[in-house]
Amino acid sequence: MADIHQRPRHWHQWLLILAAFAAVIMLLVLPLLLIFFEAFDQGWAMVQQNLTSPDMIGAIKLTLVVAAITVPVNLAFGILLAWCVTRYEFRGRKLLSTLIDIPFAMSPVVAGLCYLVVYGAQSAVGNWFSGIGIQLMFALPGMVMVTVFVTCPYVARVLIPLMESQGQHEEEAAITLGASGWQAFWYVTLPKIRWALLYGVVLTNARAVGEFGAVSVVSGLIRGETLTLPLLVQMWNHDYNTVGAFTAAALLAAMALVTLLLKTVLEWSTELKNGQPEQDSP
Amino acid sequence: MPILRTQHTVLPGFTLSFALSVLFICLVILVPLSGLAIHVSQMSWAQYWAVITDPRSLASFRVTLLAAAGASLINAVVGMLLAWVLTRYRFPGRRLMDALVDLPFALPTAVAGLTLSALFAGNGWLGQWFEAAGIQVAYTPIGIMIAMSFTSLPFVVRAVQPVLEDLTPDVEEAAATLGATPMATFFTVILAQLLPALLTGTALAFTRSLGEYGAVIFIAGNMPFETEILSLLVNIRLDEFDYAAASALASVILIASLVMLFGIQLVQSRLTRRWKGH
Amino acid sequence: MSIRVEQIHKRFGDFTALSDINLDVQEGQLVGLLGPSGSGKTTLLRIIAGLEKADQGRVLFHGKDVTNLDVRKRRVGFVFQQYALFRHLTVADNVAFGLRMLPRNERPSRRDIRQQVTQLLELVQLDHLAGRYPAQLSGGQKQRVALARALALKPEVLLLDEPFGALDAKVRKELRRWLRRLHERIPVTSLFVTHDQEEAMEVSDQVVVMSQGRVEQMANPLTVYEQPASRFVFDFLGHINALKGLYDGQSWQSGDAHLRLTTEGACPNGELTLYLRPHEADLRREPSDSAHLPVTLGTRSVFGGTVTLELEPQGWAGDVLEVELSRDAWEHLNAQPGDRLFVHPRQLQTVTCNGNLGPRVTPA
Repeated sequence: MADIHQRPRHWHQWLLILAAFAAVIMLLVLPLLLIFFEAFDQGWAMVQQNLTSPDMIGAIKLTLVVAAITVPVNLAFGILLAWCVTRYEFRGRKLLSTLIDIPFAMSPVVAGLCYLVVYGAQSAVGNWFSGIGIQLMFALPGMVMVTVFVTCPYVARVLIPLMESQGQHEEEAAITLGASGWQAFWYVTLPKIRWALLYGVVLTNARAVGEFGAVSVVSGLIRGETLTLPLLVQMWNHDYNTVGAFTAAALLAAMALVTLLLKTVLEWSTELKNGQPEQDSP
Repeated sequence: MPILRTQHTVLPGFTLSFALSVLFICLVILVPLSGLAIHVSQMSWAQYWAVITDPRSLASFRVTLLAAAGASLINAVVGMLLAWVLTRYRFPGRRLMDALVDLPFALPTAVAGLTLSALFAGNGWLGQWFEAAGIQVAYTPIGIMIAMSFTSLPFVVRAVQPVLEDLTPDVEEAAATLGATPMATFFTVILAQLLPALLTGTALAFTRSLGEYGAVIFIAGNMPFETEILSLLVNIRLDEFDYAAASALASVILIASLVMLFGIQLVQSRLTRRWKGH
Repeated sequence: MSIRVEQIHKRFGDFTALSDINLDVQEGQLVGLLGPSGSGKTTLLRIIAGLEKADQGRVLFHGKDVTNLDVRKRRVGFVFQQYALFRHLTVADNVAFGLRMLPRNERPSRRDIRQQVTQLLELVQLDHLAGRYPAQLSGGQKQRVALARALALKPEVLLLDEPFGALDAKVRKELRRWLRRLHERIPVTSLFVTHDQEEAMEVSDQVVVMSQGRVEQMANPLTVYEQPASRFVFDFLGHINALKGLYDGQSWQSGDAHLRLTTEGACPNGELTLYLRPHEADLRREPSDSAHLPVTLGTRSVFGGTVTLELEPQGWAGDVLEVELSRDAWEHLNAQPGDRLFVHPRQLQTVTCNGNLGPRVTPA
């Protein structure tokens, strides 16, 4: 296929590019720079002090724990759902792949509220759990639950179109060659989707670490106990600890930059894979 | 033969993957949703109506809707511009720009809110220029709009980009050989083909903006009746332990976003079917 | 191993893909399933492989009912239409895949696997490409890798879905001759699907002609061509000219055109269509008593030993006729475009007004 990227030739094409740069700089680059600028505004010592404060260390730990539970759960679920939706024809297939989009469309605050209503202390489920000594809401379990909710579409959304387009002839070929379903998945499907899988994990992780609205509803905002990094940003900002808030924000922004980097690299590697398509045409 | 592709019978594992997927979707998505529905249904219609027609609620609907609509419009234009420039031209910094477009998806919303509020504050890097021009951004609906357009910027770009890449130059060349000017070609040939993707992207951005919370509350100022968005009002009612009011308001956002979601999917499947000729 | 298919029915929603299919394939034969797309041939192949389940009917291998036997236990080699090579594995690993999937106690040692793979790649003349990835191969090479992969487990039945469908004309021809020779060396019972008449005729021991989910005819290629069982089969095997007219028991007529035909009462009076194969007619400058089919010479195309002519009917209604002459006959005729000529059919197939095939006739 011919490359459609051309060097701009006319002045109005350059004008468009300039406008695009202006938009990107104003909307994206400046906000990003400002985070680091503000964080380091009072010098390195202040940053260090903020980074080593107990609140910060607690928030980092909690954030990592939430992400460490959420990502594997959604990875497993995403693969199962994608396999189910792309490998079989059944009634309700479309519905299933639409339902999975609901968390994308829903306000995180509403999501948090739903969980509060169903699993909170006043509900039957929440009551039963507190009876056996487990508090779901305003504690770690609730925060993990809403994070799982908010991030569950990512892996599936990345995998479904890919597995759909790859078709299942290779898996069928494996089956005719005597492979079991598990072997077909492990030796044929998995190698084909591994980059996409990693891509999904990166996206899931970024959202799990950064989720704010849903988590803020069910966290209860208990200092040193249920504050994740994004919640700490808000808490410190509220307390007029601007540098502290920006320091926490800078940590998250650094994570976002790593995410972008990984994402770009992964997109290139999948593009490279797709760049040598089957030469045959139907 | 298309008929055969839809028959997936030999691969094992259907029961397992189907059962687990359905179980997961029920536990994680459907049960909480229906919990909210049950909670709301316990209210009488009059109570429900009273909550959602409360002047403060109405004001927050208005603020949320207008800001989301404005943000979507900005995104339609800026997103289209970025997608066009990224797919059509080769220039230094293109790859970087392409990667940066996804920043709003990767950056936690609270961080975005924090930095945008500082950026557009009266003494901020950009805020001071707006101030000089007599426009206050932070703590006004304009600020809300900017925060919303930040978090939903990638939707339009990423929806339009692949379609634009698929539009091979030969269609434009064909239009040119038929005597169309570049402007006419853009509007009659390119924009017409991009329209479904542009609309989808804008609708997704709008849906996202309706529910945006983290980025907005930092910059909004959160004055009741003026810069208080619906999600925030839900949270305030929750803090007052008024679960009924919170649920009623939440149900409005929920219904709006579900309608948008299913609407988008319906339109999309219609259009793809028409364009692929099935 | 012989294959027997009994009363297979298959529906996809409202669409009947196969209805009442019965087949008998002798051990060691190479059978072509021939039909237009949508005729159900691929579905039938997949049912025989066990990749698809029939709604009714049975499949027997060597007299043993395998209808409910899992694909993995049927011991069929299946070659997919788009090859379905594992794109992340090398050619050698693709071929070795089936052997590596065997349970540990049946699996050959690494050395044996390597040896078998080398032998198979030699068989398909690709041993020099063992380390390549599928994306680096040409279509014909991919096809041969797919075949080697299917043969690795020594299947008792080999099933090929449009094996040459994605290849260009020249490679197709080479590859199908090569398949024919390979089948002579390894006489495993084989079924292949094709929509190309020439391919089916050249390669198969037996041809199964299918249309709209039914078997129209199963016979050896010569019989199918010489004695088509139905109008569909006649239509489908190569180009035909259809001449529509009226029959009065002695002659057929359409405008200025007429032919003297005796059918000994096999064809009723009334509408009668005659099928004329392009190579079963001569061209002359004069009509005869028995044949009067005036035409004008249109374009001609020369390819190899034959000349294909397009002829416009003169004074009678009908489509442009296509007639093939040998090079010698064409030069002898010495005609120019626009010349008035007469078609002299050597043999015609009658088709009665109810669509059935009548006898084959010669104007006399």
